[in-house]
Amino acid sequence: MAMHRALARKLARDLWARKGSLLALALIAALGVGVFVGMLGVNRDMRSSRDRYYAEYRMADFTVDAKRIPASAIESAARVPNVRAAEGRVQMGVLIDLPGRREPLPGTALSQPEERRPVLNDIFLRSGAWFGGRDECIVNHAFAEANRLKPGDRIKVLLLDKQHDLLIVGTAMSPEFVYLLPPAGGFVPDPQSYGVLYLPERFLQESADLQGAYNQVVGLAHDNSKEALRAALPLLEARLESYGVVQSTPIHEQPSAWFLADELKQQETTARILPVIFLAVAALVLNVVMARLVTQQRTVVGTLKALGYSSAAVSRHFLAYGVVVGLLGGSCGIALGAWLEGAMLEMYRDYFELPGIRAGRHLDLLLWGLGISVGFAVAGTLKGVRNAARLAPADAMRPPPPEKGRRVLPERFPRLWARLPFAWKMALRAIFRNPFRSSVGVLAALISTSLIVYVLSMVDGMKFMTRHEFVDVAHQDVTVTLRDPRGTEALSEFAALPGAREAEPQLHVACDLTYGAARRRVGVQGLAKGSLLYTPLDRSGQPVAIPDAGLVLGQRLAEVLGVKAGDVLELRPLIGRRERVRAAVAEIVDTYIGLGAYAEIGYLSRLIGEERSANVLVARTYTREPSAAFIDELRERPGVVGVTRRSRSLERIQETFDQSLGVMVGILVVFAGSIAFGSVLNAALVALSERQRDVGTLRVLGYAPRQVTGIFAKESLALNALGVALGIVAGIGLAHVVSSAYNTDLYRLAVIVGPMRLVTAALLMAGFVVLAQAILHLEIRHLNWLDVLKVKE
Amino acid sequence: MSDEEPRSALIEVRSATKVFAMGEVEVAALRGVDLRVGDGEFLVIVGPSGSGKSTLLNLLGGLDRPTQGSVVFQGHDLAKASDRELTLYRRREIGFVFQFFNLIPSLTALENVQVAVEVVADPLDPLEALTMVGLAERAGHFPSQLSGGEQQRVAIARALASNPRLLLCDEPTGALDSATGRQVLGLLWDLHARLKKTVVVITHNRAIAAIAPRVVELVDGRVTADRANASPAPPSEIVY
Ligand SMILES: Nc1ncnc2c1ncn2[C@@H]1O[C@H](COP(=O)(O)OP(=O)(O)O)[C@@H](O)[C@H]1O
Ligand SMILES: [Mg+2]
Repeated sequence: MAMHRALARKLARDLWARKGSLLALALIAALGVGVFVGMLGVNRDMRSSRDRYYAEYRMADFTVDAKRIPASAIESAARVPNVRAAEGRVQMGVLIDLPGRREPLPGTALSQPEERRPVLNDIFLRSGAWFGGRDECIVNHAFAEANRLKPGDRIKVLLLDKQHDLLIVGTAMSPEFVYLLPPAGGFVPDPQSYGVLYLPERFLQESADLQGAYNQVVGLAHDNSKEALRAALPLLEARLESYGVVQSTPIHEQPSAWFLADELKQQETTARILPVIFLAVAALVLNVVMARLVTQQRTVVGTLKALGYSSAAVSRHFLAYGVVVGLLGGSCGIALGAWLEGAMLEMYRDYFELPGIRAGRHLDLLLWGLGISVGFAVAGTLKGVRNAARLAPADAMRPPPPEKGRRVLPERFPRLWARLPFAWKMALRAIFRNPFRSSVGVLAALISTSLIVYVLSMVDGMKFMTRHEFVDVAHQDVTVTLRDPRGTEALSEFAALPGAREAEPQLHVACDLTYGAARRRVGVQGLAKGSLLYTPLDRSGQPVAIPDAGLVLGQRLAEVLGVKAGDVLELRPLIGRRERVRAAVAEIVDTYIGLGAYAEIGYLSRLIGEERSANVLVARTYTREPSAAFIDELRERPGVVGVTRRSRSLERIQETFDQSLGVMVGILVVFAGSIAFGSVLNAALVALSERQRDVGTLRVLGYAPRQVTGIFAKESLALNALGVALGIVAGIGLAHVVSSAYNTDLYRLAVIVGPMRLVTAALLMAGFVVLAQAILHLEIRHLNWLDVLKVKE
Repeated sequence: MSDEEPRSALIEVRSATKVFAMGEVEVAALRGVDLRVGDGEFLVIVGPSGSGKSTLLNLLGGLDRPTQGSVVFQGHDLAKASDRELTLYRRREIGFVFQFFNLIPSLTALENVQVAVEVVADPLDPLEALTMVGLAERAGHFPSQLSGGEQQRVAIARALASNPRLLLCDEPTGALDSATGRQVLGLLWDLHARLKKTVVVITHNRAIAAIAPRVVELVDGRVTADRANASPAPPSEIVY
């Protein structure tokens, strides 16, 4: 950009004179660019390390679970169209006994070849070595770290009710378990309480009573798109039908892959929306500042034009302010982005077992970041540039017309108006006579407030959900999971355990529900009528009544299937008899569970071809925390594959909230507040530059600096009060929109906006406004008002 | 009125100097000024432009402090007063009238007067103050809708409204044509006569000095003359 040297010098001085204002704007832009560069950077880092990981360790595109698949049948599976490779393996639920842990921990055992060779869903050995003998295992790295296990240690593992003493030979990570959710519920990994064990194939086959056979086929597809897999898997299921197919899972529904993909998608959305908001606010505020600058410099502009500078040269000069703010914001944003990328990756490393996530170099992202920052900032100068270009030299040399004495809207109510102190009259006239500037102020406050309200409501929503799931609905102290459904005589057995106060049976059955063309796999929870330990609630907090017959569906599921109460569905359970049966929809309830359904336990038992049976027992103990004797007794019971204390699940989630949620909320609140701060500060400085003379007048009349600031702050107070009020409404709206957008199959986020949170949001906003006003106050105190009064306007 | 009758001093400047530091150079605006302003006096200070009149008036009005010397108002030395005390002093005791009016453009005439009233204990009624300057029917007009003379009268009403003892006027006719200027001077004289206000007017215009019973001349930061004018001319008769 060619610019005259004299103009360049003027630019430098003007910028320096407005450094506070421009820095505040650059800060907002920097936050936008920081989020853009940082989050998209994280997104790419994670995506590429995931893709590399999946490719290098041959993450399977699908899994088929069956009862017993002979090794010879695996070959035939590989010949199904679109299947590129298929391998058999054994998977089994186990209990792990760790010294120092009261309850046995649930785990999953998976087979690996005795001699190391590349397999699908391969593992990455982090420490130790491959198997050297039979009774050995490799444990997943996070579990080992969380429980201080290392190669050479021994652990007791219950495989099909037989206790084995296994030597840990190594620790490993697997692409299958990047995000490993515990089976007991909750939405955060709990490496301390849930582990994956890799055992030599033959040993596990023998222990699982599957000599020479497998119970899982994992495979690769030529085309692993959702549609292609959806088409191929039924064929594969049909091919393996005679081996007792339980279910098939494409990679998109594999829990870890699903969660990771979802997280990446959310990151990307955030990284695209937030920066636009920040940069747009910066551009709007810059427009206000530039319009004022040009007004202030009308005579300078006129003189320049009279001296022969073209309108284009003058325009370029004012555009250059935007370029400078944009470059400054962009480069600070890039630095901020690098920090953000590091901090976010650090956090992700705690939750995602993804090897080799590190901050990459994304030169194109940096250039984009700089580019959008400059682009928005230049757009922010357009109003001023246009004014400058239009100014005819002769007009420009004349002083600006005096402020017009137009009446403003509130003056139409003379009775009210007459009662207002003059300071409010000044403020209201300033607001109504500068509609653009005022709108920008309100908008900025609205945006900051709604972001803060949204963030706070999200935290409350998550806390509420946790409470709902683990306190309001579930009341048991212990949950015992059984491998297979057993008759309810099992219940009396458990009820008789030492310390047990009461126990109730549950039957959890994964089912495929079909209605017309719609089909969905869901978990149906069979509950005893009058259950006290587990009381499902709908969204209004009312207990869900369990009918004698028929299914109770969550609203989301009913929508997905397109059914209403009274319709009859086709249901195929994945356990038990696994035959298609018809089941009526008894009721549809509005709950927070995603695709969940309830049924009476006896009714559900009959659907799977059993007498009243249970595969989950919930119990309350006298001590609230189950005693060692109670747990020890449980350990000895055959068929137990999981023992979970409710308090443990709750603690773990609490821990996570305390660790990362607070930091995240803090960062977001500061980001949101910066918008308010930057906007208020700039509006105040612009107003001050217009009204310096009024400051002088008021000081002469005996107003103290604090009183003058008070008068000037009223404009900001009124605009921000309106902005905050609108922002609260917008924030609640935003929370609802996001909640329904994330109304996933897993859960529906509750929207909780407590009045205290609104007060908090308003107070935070007040804090940011006060901070900006404090700077204004310093300016007013140090303003040389006596000199201001000496010159003619 | 007799000159021999000693008035009690309302405010007294003693050996005041004022030096402005302008980077490297220092400008001495006042080089040792002594001035006693009696209670109820009407005083005009004349001097060429740059002679230090405004600087002296600012000292009297508590807008600034002397570099050396003292400014004693009713026994209190303003030179030693804190910013806060000076603020209170201006609020309670002083009414200012400036060459360029310094009205707040976004407030009407009446509201401009209210500004002065809001921070003092026993003010005049703002409308009454406007009535005194003959502008009651213009109360709802904004400064941009008033002529220069009218704006200056609003400024005078504002200065009066806080009910100050001392009215300080810095070139009050400087921005007005002579007819309007005479009206404004007449108004000031009236207020002095009717309300017994102490009025100090500064001007570079010697003709204006003719209206004052006492004229102080300031040249180059020093008082060069301080004389009584036994027969002050009515403001309406002066020519400038
Ligand atoms: N704030 C200031 N900084 C520097 N010099 C000043 C300042 N105020 C006044 N002066 C200088 O002091 C001298 C007297 O100024 P002033 O009192 O305004 O004169 P008058 O009102 O008689 O025209 C002048 O030379 C002027 O330039
Ligand atoms: Mg002067």
